[in-house]
Parts: sequence; structure tokens; C-alpha cells
Amino acid sequence: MRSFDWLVLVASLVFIVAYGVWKGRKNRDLDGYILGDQTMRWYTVAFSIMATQASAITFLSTPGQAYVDGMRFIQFYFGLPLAMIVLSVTVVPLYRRLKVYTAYEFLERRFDVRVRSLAALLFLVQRGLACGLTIYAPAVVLSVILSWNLYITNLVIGVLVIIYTASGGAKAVAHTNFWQMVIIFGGMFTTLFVALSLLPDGVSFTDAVHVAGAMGRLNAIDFSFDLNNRYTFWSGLIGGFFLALSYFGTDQSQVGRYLSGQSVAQSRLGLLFNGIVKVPMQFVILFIGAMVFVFHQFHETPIYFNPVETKRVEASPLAGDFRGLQEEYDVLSREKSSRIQALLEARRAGDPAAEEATAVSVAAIQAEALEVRKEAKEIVRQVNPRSDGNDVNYIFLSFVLAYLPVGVVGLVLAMIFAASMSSTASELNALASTTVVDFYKRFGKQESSDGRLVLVSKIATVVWGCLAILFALLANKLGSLVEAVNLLGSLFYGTILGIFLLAFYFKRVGGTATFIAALVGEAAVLAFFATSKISFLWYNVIGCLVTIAVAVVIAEAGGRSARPTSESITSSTSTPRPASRSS
Amino acid sequence: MSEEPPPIGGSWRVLYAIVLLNLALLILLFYAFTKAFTRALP
Repeated sequence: MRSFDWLVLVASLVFIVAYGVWKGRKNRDLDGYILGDQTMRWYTVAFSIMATQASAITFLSTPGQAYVDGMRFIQFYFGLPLAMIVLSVTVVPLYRRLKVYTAYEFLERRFDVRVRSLAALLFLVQRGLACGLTIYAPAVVLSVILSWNLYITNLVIGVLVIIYTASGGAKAVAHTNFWQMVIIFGGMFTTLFVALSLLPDGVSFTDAVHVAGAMGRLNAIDFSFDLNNRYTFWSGLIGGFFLALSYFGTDQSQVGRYLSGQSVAQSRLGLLFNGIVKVPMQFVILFIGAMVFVFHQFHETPIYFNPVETKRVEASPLAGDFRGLQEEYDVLSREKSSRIQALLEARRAGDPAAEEATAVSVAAIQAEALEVRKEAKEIVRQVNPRSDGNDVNYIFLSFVLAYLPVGVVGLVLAMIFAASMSSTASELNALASTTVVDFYKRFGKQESSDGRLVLVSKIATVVWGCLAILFALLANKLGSLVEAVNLLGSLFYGTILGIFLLAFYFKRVGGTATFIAALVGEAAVLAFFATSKISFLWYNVIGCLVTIAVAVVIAEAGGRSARPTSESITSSTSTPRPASRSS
Repeated sequence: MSEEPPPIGGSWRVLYAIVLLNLALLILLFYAFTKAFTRALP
């Protein structure tokens, strides 16, 4: 990395940390620390929501995903806009009217303290682990590609986030998220533009799109209904809807973002803006990956993108075999490149028969090259049994460092850091909020002064930050990081969503039935995870439906409760508010 | 509690419709994109 890249990266990091500390310097009470005094306009809410969801994993892993698997991952996001509408109509006004700090407070009003605590605990477990992954993911890739020390990289990311999140709370998180999103958009579009400009002479943008399509990288839509197929239109629309409903409606790292809005309208509009922009944004990221794939069809390509594993193989007794495979891969790549040129010429000449024939020959040689790459991956696994032979996370950054011009490399790295820090900051803020509001304040010091609660929140932020760093230091062997994070979320989100849907729409179901049903629902999800191969997106549906079904059966079988409905809670002024805000 | 109007867009119904239409349009575009560029090879 050159000096100017370092300058761009360091300047971005210093700006974010300093800006966060400065914006959050006036926190006096829990309203300010957890909800940012509810002063955010819709665009700050929207960017904060987007920055929270878009972690560094999104930018490292997603282009690589398009490189190896095409663009079908885009379908994962189809349920999100629908969820944004549902949440805007139902959840946002309810939370705002109840004046809650966390989503889980609502559950005690509706059910009882057990259900609230169970949901809060499930959140703390899954989000605490995910927070570690959010730090670890960019750290491991940066350390491998740039030869940085993994532990130091983990520590730098973690400590920088802790500084401004602990000192500034939600206000610091929201304002830094806004600028982090600006950096992210800047880095994203610059990368796309530069990647396209690097295509060889004579290969136009349209040519590149045709090549990507002919080689199966533009498979954005698949309408087949196959439960074992991870990304289809249906799994994305239905499973993705449930996942987004749960993530944005019940995960405090997102709930905290839109609760910081100036009003119901500002919070709602922030969510809806996300519903409009998220899918195209993911499309652009995937499209960058598809263009990097096309670029590599005309340039030398390593057979394996993780340089650390490659070096390990080269120092092993299997080095000769690996070199042989790389040579074979190079020969196939050159032949493939010339066949692609023939395909483009046939297209330009308007000869469909020749185009079809060359497309078939390109596909055939691509299949051969993939077989060779598969053998190379097998050697990587043999040399290092701890490796899963998955290099998808290293593809994009390898391209950035090898081919992008000075300054742009720094901007892309700033983008990755910004994405990592924005998600981590929101997560730490949410973990601290839940710990303090749903456990410390609920079970311990209910009468604590504002100053003490802010202090405890700051301590909780630091403790969760340290735990996240610790988990990041221990995490490894995760395959595609973006999938690991989504998988982890899907193990818990369905059950949590089931609890919240029971609270909203099933007025006959009480606390005991919900509590038992949530335990059964979670057991069902874990059983499916352990024994079946269905796509993880369906876990959200299973967890949710099992929780609801079991609760309804228990309620109908005699465990009915006359607990108030969410509607009656919101309209009643006499409902006890054991842990609500004092306003 | 009367519903606060959105800061932009006129009414909430219009905004919800925009989100839905945007999604439908994107899915259609992606479908056309997939059909136009992805080849069904033997």
C-alpha cells in the first residue's frame, strides 16, 4: 500500500472517531445515550439503518460471491422492502407511543418479564457473537491480503469503535453512520467505475455484460421453488421477508436506530428509504463482483485467492502438484480468453449460430477450469485441514490491491473500515442498551440516577466491545463470512419474530404459552440446523411458525390468558410501566 | 392519535406504493436482465 492510500485511510478513520466523540459529547441522560435525544432527521435515520446492516462483510464477501456464484444472492433482499412497509405501519408507531428504549420492554407489557428476558437474552447471545464476526471479518481479510497482523487489526477496529460509541452513545453512532455511508457510497461507485475502465481495449461495457451472462454470472432471478436451493425468488421473498421483519423489527441494533428519529414520520421515512435503496445497492455490489470476474477472464488469475494458504501449499510436499495445477489453469485461462474474444466477435458480426457455438465452447472450458480449481482447493484443504478451501472473501480485495490506482485503494479500505465500524458501533450500542434497560435497570437498580445509568451504559459498551474483540480473536474457519453472519442471525430471528408476532396479533395467547412456545421454536430451528440441509433462510420461517403454532395450541388447550393486546396497551394509560422511560 | 404526514411524498399511502412499485420494477428488470444475458446452454 502506498503513502497516499495510507493518508486516505487514516484521515477517514481519524475523522470518523473525532466526529463521533464530538457529536456525542453532550449526553447527560439515558434518553441522550440510548436514543440520541430523538433528534434525528429521516435521512440520518435511513443512512444509519443502512450503515448498520451493511457491514464490511457485505463489501468483502458479496463481490466474491458474484464472482464464484453469480448474482442470485440479490434475491435474498426481496423481502426487505415489504418488511419496511409492515414495520412502518405497525411497529414504529407502537414503539414510539410506548416510549420504550428497547423492543423487549414491549414484551413485558404484553406478556410478562420471562418473555421479555428470554427475547432480550436471545438477542444478546446472537448479536454478541455477530458483533465479534463484524470485527473479525474485515480483520482476517485485511491481515491476509496486506500481511497485517490479525490480532492488531482486530484490536484497531474494535478499539476505535469502542472509543466513540462508549463516549457518544446513539448520537455518535447515528451521525458517524451517516458519514460512513457517504464513504461507502463513494468507494462503491468509484470501484465500479474504475473496474469498468480496466476492461481490455476493444471490450465494451455491453461486451462485458454479455461475457458475464454467457458464463452464468448474471443469474439474478430464479423462480424455481426448491427448499434446498439457498437463493431463489421464493426463499428471498418469503424467508427474506421474515428475516428482515425480525431483524428490523426486533433486533435492538436496528430498533435503536429508528427510535432515534425526531418523530414517527421521520423514523418511518428512514425505514422506507432503506426499502427503496437497499436492493439496488446490493445489485451494484454484486455487479462489481461480476465485472471483476469478467476482468479476470482477460488477465492472469491466481488459482487460489488466499495468498497465505497459497504460500503454505508452496512450502509443502504438495507444492509441485499445486504448481502443475496453476500451469494447467493458466493454459485453460488463455484458451478461454481467446474463445471469449471469438464469442464477442460472433456477437458483433451478428452471427447467432457462431455465437451459440462459441458460448458452448466457453462454457465447456470454464467447466474444465473449475475442475482444476477444485483440485487446487482440495490440495489447500489437505495441506491445512483447518482451511475450508473457500477463498471467496479474498477475491475482491486481491483485485483492488493489484489493479486499482493509488488513492482508490485507500478509499476502498476506508469503505471497508467504515462499514465494519458502523455495524459494530450500532451493535455495541444495542448490546449496552439491552443490558442496561432489560437487565440492570429491570432487575437491579431501578431508581438509579441518569448519570449513573449513562455511566453503566458506557461500561456495558466497553465490556461488550472487549468481548466482541475477544470473540473476533478466536473466530476462524467460517467459509463465506456474509453467509456465516446471516446463518447465525437466522438461527435466532425466527423465534424472536414469533414472540413479537404473538404479541401483536394473537390476543388470546399469554406469557406462559409464549415462553414455552419460544423454547420449542428455538429447539426446532436448532434441530433443523443439525439434521437437515434446507437453506438457512427457511429457519426464520420455521422458528416463527413453530413458536406461533405451539403458543396457540397451548393457549387453546387451556393456558389462555387475559393479558392485554398490544392495541389495548397502547391506548391504556393505566398499564404498569415497570421499565419504561420516565417521560 | 392523528397520523403525522410524511416529510416528503404527500401521503403515506403514496410512499408505500412507491416502495412496492420500486420492488416490482426491480424484480422485473432483474428478470429481464437474467433472461437477456444468461444463456441456456446444452
